[in-house]
Amino acid sequence: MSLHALTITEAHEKLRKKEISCEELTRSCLERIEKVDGALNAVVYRNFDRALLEAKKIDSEGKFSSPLAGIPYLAKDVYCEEGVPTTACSNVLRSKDYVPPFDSTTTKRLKAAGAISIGKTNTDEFTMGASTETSCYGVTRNPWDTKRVAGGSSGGSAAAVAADECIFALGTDTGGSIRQPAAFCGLTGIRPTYGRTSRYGVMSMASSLDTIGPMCKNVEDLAIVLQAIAGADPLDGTTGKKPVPDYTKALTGNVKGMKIGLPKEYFADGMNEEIRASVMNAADVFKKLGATIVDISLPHTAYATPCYYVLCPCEVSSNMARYDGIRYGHTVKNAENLVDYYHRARSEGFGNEVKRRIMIGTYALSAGYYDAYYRQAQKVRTLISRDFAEAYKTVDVIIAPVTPGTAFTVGAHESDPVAMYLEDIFLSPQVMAGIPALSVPCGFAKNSMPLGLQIMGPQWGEETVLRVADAYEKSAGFAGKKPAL
Amino acid sequence: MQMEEFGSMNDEYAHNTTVFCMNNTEFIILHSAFIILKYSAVLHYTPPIMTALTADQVRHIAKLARLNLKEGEEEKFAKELSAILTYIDALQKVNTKSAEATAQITGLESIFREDRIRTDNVQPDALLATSPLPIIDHQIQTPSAHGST
Repeated sequence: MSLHALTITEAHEKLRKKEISCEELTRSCLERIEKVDGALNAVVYRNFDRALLEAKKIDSEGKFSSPLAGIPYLAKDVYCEEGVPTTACSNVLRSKDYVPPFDSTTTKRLKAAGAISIGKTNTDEFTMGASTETSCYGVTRNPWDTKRVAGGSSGGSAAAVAADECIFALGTDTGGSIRQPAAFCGLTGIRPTYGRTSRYGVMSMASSLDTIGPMCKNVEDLAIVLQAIAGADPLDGTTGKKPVPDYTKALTGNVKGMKIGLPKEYFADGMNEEIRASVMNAADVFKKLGATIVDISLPHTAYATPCYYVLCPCEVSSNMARYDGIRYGHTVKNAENLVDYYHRARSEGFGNEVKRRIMIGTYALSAGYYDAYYRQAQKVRTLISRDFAEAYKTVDVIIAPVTPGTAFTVGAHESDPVAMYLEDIFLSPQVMAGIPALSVPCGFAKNSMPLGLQIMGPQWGEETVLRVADAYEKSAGFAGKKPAL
Repeated sequence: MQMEEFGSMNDEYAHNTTVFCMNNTEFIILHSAFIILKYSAVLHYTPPIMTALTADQVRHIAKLARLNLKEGEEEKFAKELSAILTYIDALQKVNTKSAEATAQITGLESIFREDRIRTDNVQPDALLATSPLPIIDHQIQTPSAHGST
C-alpha cells in the first residue's frame, strides 16, 4: 500500500516502529498531489518546502508519542497560518495574497501535536456554497467522477482526503460544509458541537453558526484529530468550558441497548429512493448490533434551511464588512474618496454569491425588517433546538440522510441560487440546534457515487456520535473504498 | 433653531431645557438621546414584508452594502434576491409566540476577559504590514473621507 493511502493510525504505527520516516510519508503525499491534483483542483496552495523541513525536524527528534506526530494534513483555505498565504478562495484576498501574521488556534494545536501542514484546500468563496464552484481558483472535481462536484464548501478538503493527497484534512461546517462533501466523496467528517472547537484565526462566515472540524478516512481518525483540536480557548469566547473526553476510548464498537431515532420528517414522499434505502439499511445494521430503532418526529425540520438563509446572510453582511481594502486585500487606485474606495475594492473583490448574501443580509437587517427576519429566525431557531432536546429525552442518537442525492454535475445549479440552497435541507437543523453531527459512508448509488449516513447527538455528545459511527463503519464494510484515479 | 426643532418633537423637553440652561456637553448628550429615540421609533414601525425587489431597491441595498453594480446587474440581482426572499418567507408562517430568540446556542452569557492588550500572539506592526495601503507612523493612510484625494 502506498504511504499516502494510510490512515492516521496506520501511519502512526509505522512511524513509531521506524518502519517509515516522516519525510517519506510527507513526500508520498506531495508526490500524490503533483500526480492527481491537476484533475481535481483540490489544493490551492502548496506549502511543500516548509512541510519537508518540518518532516526532517520531526525525524531527527524521533519522538512519536503523539498520534499526530509527523502526520501530513491539508487545511481549508480559511485557516490562518503564520506566513502561509490564506485567501478564502476570494479575489478580495487573492489579488495581493493575504499572508496572516498569526496562527489559528486549531492549526497551532495541530502543530503542537506534531502534525505537518502541507498546504491549503479549495473552498467556495468565504465558504459560501455547496459545490466549491464559487472559488476564485475554479471548481474542485470529485475523485469518484470528475464530471461531478466534490460538494462544498469544504470540497477541496474532501476531494484531497478521498484521493489520498493527505492523511487527513480540516474543514469548516456552517450549514453542512463538512458533512455534505464528506458524503459526496465517501469519507468521514464531523461537525462538532458549536464551541467545542475554537474559531479563532479561521475566517468567519456566520459567527453564531460556524464550526471547525476534521475530515478523515475513518471514524477512529476523526476521534484522534478532534481530540487534538477540541477544548476551551481564551481567544474564542464562544468555546465551551466542558472538559474534552478521550474520544478514542469511546470507540468500543458496542451499541447494544442504544436507542437510535429515525425522524419521519427526513423521509418525505418523493425523496430519492436510493437515499432512503441506504439509511434504512443502516438502521438494519444497528438492529443487528443490538440497538433499538425508534420512530421520532422533529416537527420544525422544514423551517431549518429557510432559517439558515436568514441568519447566515445577516451575519455574513456584518462579517464581510471588514473586507474593505484597508487592512488587507484587494486595493484600487485613484479613488475619489474613502466611500468610493470601499465600493470599488469590494465590488471588484467579491463574487456573486458573496454579494447576494451581503445584500440579503443588509436588507433583512435594515430599519424595520430586523424583527420580521433576523429576530423571527432566531425564534424559529429556538423551536428547532427544542425539537432536538425533546427527541434526546428518548433516543441516544438520530440517524438521517446527509444529502438529497449523490454529487451533482458541475454547473447543475449555476443559474439558480435557491436550488443550491436546497442541497442543505438535511444539514441545517443540526446547525440551528448547535449539536454534533457526522457523515460516514453507507454505500454506493447505482451511478457508483458514494452515499453518506448522518449520525447526530445531543450538544457535547461527540463521544456517543463517534461510538455509533465507528460501530457502524466496522460492521457495514464501506470504509477504505478508494476511487480509481 | 435647535430649540425649535426639539420643541416640535417634545414640548416638555423644550420646557425643561430652558430651566436647566445646558452647557455644550449636556446638549450633545441629550441631542444624541433624541437621535436614538427617533431611530427607535423607526425600528418599531414594521414595513410590509416584500418578496419581490425592484431594480431601484436593489440599487439602494447595494449602496448600503458599499457595493457598485454593473450595467444590468440590478435586474439580475433583483430576480435572484426576490427568489431568495420568497424562499425565506416560509418563516413568517411559524408561530413563535412561545419562543425566545436564540443568540447563543450553547447557553453562554456575557463572557468577560481582562481588558488588556495582548501582543503574545501577534505584533501590531505585523498586522499593519498586511495592508495594501501606505503605512505612516503605525497608521494606514487611506483615501480622504471627504471629497477627492
